[in-house]
Amino acid sequence: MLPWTKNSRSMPRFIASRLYIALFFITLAWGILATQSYHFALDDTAEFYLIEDAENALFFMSQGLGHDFVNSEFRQSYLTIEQLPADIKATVKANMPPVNQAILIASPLYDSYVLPYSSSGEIADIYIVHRFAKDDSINIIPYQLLIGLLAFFALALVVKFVVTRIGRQTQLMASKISRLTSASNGPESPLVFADYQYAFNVIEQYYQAQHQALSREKDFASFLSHELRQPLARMTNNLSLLDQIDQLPLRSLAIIADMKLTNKALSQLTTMVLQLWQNSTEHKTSVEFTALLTEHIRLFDETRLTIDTQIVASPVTILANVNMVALLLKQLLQNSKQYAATKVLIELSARQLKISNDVRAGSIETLSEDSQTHGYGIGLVMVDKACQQLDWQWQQSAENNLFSVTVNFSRARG
Amino acid sequence: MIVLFVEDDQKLAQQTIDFLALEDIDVDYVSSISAAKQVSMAQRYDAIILDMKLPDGDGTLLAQYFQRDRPETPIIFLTGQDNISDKLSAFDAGALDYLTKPFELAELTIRLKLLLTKGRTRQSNFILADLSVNFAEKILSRGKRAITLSPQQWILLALLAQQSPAYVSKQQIIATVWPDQDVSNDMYKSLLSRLRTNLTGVGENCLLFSAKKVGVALRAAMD
Repeated sequence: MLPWTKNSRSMPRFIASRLYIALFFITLAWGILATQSYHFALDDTAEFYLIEDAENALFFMSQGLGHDFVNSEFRQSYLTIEQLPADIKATVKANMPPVNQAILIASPLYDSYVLPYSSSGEIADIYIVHRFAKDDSINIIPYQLLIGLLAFFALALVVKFVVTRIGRQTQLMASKISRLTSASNGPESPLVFADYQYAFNVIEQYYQAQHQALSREKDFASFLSHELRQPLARMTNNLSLLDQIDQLPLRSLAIIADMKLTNKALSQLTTMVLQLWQNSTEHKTSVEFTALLTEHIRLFDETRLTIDTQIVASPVTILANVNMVALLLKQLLQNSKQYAATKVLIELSARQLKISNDVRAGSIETLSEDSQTHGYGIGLVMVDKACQQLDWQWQQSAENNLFSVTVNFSRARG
Repeated sequence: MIVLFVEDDQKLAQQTIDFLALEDIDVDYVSSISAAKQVSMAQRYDAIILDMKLPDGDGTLLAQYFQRDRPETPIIFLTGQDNISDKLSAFDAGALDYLTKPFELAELTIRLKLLLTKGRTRQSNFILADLSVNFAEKILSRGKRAITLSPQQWILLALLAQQSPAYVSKQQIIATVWPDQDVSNDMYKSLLSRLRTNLTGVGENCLLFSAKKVGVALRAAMD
C-alpha cells in the first residue's frame, strides 16, 4: 500500500477497484449467460430431434411399420396421453403443452423432453418422449462456471500486475521528486511511462528555477552583508583607535561621540536591513512575545514620555523567527518614540499588538482625514517588510491626534 | 602574548593590529589560508583570529586544520555574516568565540585576554558596583560591557581606584598622569571627560564624581 493511501484515494487503488468490479460483473454475466444459453441450446437441440423422431414415427406408421419403430432406450413414442409413462403423464396433463412444442420435465432420476406432435392439426397425432437418466449425462454448467472463475482470477492477476507496476512507477516518481528537495545523490531509475516522465520533468524544471532564484538571493544577501559590514567595521575600528589616542583636544570629544552614535545607528540599521533579506521562515522557535515586548519597552526608559501598557495577563507565546520579531518590535517602538509628543499606549492581547501615540507638533504633517500616508516613513517601511517576512498583518490608523499601528500575529500563535 | 590574525582586508587588519599593539598584544598577520599554515609551523600562538571568508578558502577549513594540529590554541572567528548557519559552522570547526563585523575592538581585546587567561584564577584588582578592573591584565568591564582605555586613562583610573572613594586632587592627577609635561586645562578636562564617558554607558550610574576645588573621586554614589 502506498504511504499516502491511508486517508486518500490512490491511482492504483482507483484503477484496481474499478477493474475488479468490472471483472466481477463480467464473470457474473458470463455465469448467467452460460447457464441460460446452455439450457436454451439444449432445448432447441432436443426439440429438433423430437420433431425429427415424430415425423419418422408418423412415416413409419404410414408405412405400416408401427410408430414404435423409432423407439430406443431413451426415445419413446406414444399415440395418446394415457400411454405416457406415469411419472410424466400427470405433468403433461396438467400443463397441456401446445402441439409441436417440446417441454422439459425434470424428475429426480430423469430429464424427459416431451413433444406432442401433429403434422397438420391442433390435436397431437403422436407423443415423442426423450428420456435421459440424470446419471448418464454430465452437467457442464459447473464446468462453465469454473471456467468463468478461472478466467476471472487470471484477469485479476493481470490487473494486479498492471496496477502494481503503475503503483511502483508512481512511487518512483514521488521518490525522484523528494530527491529534488533533499538534494540527495544516488542512482536514479528512469520512469517507464512517458506521462509520468513529462510531469516529473516539469516539476524538476520548476524546482530548479526556484532553487536557483533562492540561491541567487542568498548569494546576494551574503555579498551585501559582506560589502556593508566591511566598511562599517573599518569605521568602528577607527573610532576605537581614536579611543586609544591620548591628549585628544577637548573639542574633538563631542565630535567623536557623535560619530560613535551615528556609526552605531548605521550599524543597527544595516543589521536590520540585512535581516530583512534573510529568509525568516527558517529558524522558527517558540518566542515569549510578552517578555520580548517588555524588554523592548525599556527603550522608553530615558524619555519623558508617559508609557501606558495594557498587556494580557497570560503570557503570549508565538512561533516565529525571534530576530525578526525583535526587529519589528524595535522598529515599532522607535517609531513611536520618535514621533510621540507626551504619551505612548501599548496594548497587547492574545492576537495583536497595538501601539498608539500622540503626535509631536512639527514631527510630521498634521494628521488629517486622509491618513493613508501620514507617518509612513522609513520606520513603517521596515515594519511592513518585517511583517511580510513574518506573514503577519498590520495596519495604521490616525484619529483625534492619536497615531496607531496594529500588528496581528494570530497565525503565529504557538 | 602573540596571536595569529588571518584576514584578507588589509586595512581592517592594520587597524586591529594597531589597536591590539596598544593593548600589549603582538600580532602576526597573514591574508590567506596557505600563508597561515606556513607561519604556524614556525610559531606557537596564544590565540588565532580567523576571518570566515578568505581568498583561498573557507576559514572553517583552516580552523579544522588548527584543531588537528594545535588543539590547545583557542580560535576566534570574525565574519561579515550574521546568520545562524555560519555561527554553527564556526563552532563545529572548533571556534571558541565568534564576532560579527562591525565589532568593537575593545570586545575583541577583552575576549582574547579572557581566552588566554582561561584556566587561571582571574582576580579583579578593583571592583566598584558593576565595574570590574584587572590592572595586571588590563581587563576592564562594566556589567557585560567591555571597555578599553588609552594609556593615560589607565593611569588615571589606577590612581582613582587606589584612593577610592576618596577624592583625588587635580594637582595629584596632573603630577601622576603628566609628570614631566605642561598641562593645559583642556587636556585635563579632556582626559576626565573621556574616562567618565568610557566608564558610564547608557543607563549606567555615574561612578566618577567631581567636586569643585576638591578633586575627582571614583565611588558608587555621590555623598
